[in-house]
Amino acid sequence: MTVLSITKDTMVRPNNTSAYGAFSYFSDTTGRLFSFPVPKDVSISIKKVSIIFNWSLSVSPNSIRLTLFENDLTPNLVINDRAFSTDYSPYPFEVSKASMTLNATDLGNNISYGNTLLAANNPIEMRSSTGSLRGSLITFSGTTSVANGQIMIKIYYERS
Amino acid sequence: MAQNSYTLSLSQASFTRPANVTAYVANTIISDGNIIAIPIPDRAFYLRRLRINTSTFGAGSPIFRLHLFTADPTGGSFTAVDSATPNFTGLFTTYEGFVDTTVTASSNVGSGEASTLTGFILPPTPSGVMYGLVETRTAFTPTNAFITRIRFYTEASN
Repeated sequence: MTVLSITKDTMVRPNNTSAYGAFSYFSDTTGRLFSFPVPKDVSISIKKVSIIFNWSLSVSPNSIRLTLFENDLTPNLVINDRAFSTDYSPYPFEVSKASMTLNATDLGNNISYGNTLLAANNPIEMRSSTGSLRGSLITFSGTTSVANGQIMIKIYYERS
Repeated sequence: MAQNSYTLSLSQASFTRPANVTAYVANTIISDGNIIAIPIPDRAFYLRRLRINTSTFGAGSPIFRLHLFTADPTGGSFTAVDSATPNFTGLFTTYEGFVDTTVTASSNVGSGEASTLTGFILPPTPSGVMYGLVETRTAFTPTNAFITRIRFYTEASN
């Protein structure tokens, strides 16, 4: 039997209004990756990923890149809010499992939203040995921020 | 071999816009002043198809954007006033996204369908309904007091 489930994480960005440059990370003051609880050692099939910001992005639609890992790469992978993104080539290829683009549209009045729907014949299959997928978030375009702005990512998946 | 088992459901909600023919400008609300409440399954589900019909229709092919919320957004900065600009301040945690549908005239009624929703999953809600708001993305002139019906075609795993 197939079960549809949803896992999500919310990041609160730092208490400043500094702008993001192109290809920079979104994170909080601890520099963590997004964390998505999932069943441990169970294959899941990701069908939809959505993102929502509680502020209006100055570039809209803005290409936002989410890269999902089956396990945590920090502290070896350094994530700092607004830092220029590094590439992932120094890390084991097999843990860099999937990247997707979430085109976030400014809906006006303090919400920006985007999602990606994965076709039935092209789902993202993942399996975490720790029970938590991790994700890094990068903006492709320079954009504004708000103090303590919130970013929520939801992952909708199927599992048997 | 185990078989996947799903329940297909159809649910709907409707509302009547005001009795006038005042043109809508782009990015404004079409409403009777209330939020739309569409019954949904009691577990996460696929929204396979969304259909919008209107009881009468004029010219043009406006794009209707249905915004979805897991809780009633009414209150705070939000109102569902017809012809107003949507204000989603403070609705960050309950916003579930949107679906765009082009509505066109067909024998004096309007109809539109979003059927390329592969992978569009929505969560269950405590109230058993998904809350919706229609925004027209393009300017158009409405007919008097037309009724808008929104239909969900859903598929939930058993």
